[in-house]
Amino acid sequence: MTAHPILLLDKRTGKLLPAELVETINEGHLASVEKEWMPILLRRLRELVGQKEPLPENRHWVWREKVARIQGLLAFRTFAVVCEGQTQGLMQVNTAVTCRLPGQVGKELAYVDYVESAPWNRASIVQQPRFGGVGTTLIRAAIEVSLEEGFHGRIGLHSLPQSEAFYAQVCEMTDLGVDGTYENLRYFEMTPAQATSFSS
Amino acid sequence: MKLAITREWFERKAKLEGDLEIAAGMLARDPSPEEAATRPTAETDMETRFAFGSLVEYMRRKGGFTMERLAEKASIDVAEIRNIERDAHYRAEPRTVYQLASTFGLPNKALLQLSGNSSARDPGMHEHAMRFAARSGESVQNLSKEEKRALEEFIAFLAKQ
Repeated sequence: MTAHPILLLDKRTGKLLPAELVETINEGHLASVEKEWMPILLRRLRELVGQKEPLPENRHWVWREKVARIQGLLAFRTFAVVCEGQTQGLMQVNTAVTCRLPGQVGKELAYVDYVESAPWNRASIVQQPRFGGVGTTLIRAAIEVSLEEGFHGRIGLHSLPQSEAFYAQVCEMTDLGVDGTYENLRYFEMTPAQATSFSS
Repeated sequence: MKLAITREWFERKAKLEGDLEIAAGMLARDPSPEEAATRPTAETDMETRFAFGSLVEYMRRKGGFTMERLAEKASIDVAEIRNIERDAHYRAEPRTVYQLASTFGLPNKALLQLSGNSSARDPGMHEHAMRFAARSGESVQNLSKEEKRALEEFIAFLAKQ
């Protein structure tokens, strides 16, 4: 297991706290999702059932099944952000995907299959989110995977509708529009120049 | 993989990220859509199991049982009760459902549907289950009048199954 030291923003104090980016999701991370994430998500679902407010879009996700599906497949890399002994975010990256953006069509990229932050970090689930920076750190990790694979920082992903602002405005990825072949989610891609800008 | 990131970068990016949602990836269910096509809808499954968990918790509290006491009475593992009440992804084994149905005096067939073990589902089951779940509170003490009413109505519906 490789763990990289990182920092997360403690939104309660405004200070940075030491955390870790762990390569390869392990049983402890999955157990954290099931025992710690789920009760909070379910409590929020209970509150939202019957109301007009939208439910969290990815409430169906079962990380254990996602990880089981790619077991032994070398094209996939997984990551967990851990802080204060709890899993703060998870990501699965596929390195066997090619670009769509004109100018880099057909070139390889690191495709973010899935990325998610812990429910207590999400303003749509709790009133006072706990940690900030999970998303930017994981996208930075995807860029580093791309660089390591020789893809020059090119990454791609399909954003959930509630997350589009993050990929368009914070990551400054190129929006290639709604993908009718992929649940009508918007597809975003990052060029090497955009990756350099994001990482600097 | 190398990851050399400055403190300033973390601070700047975390502030930029703010409270924005970050989830990306296929919306559909787990397992994959191809696998899911052969199963009842995972979303409906999870939502009815969520109501199943609430029902078990309420019946347990109504009976004045701790999780340990209910596990003992129903001859099932306490971890199963905990999973049923707290994890809507957890699918209870048919034997467990049968034991709980017997212990609570509820119809086994309806509970099998609610717990996701039976696909021959009454079309009204999901709606009733969600209505019940929506009226569930968070108190772990005594049931409120509203919770009792929701529980009684839901049990009456289950009894007709």
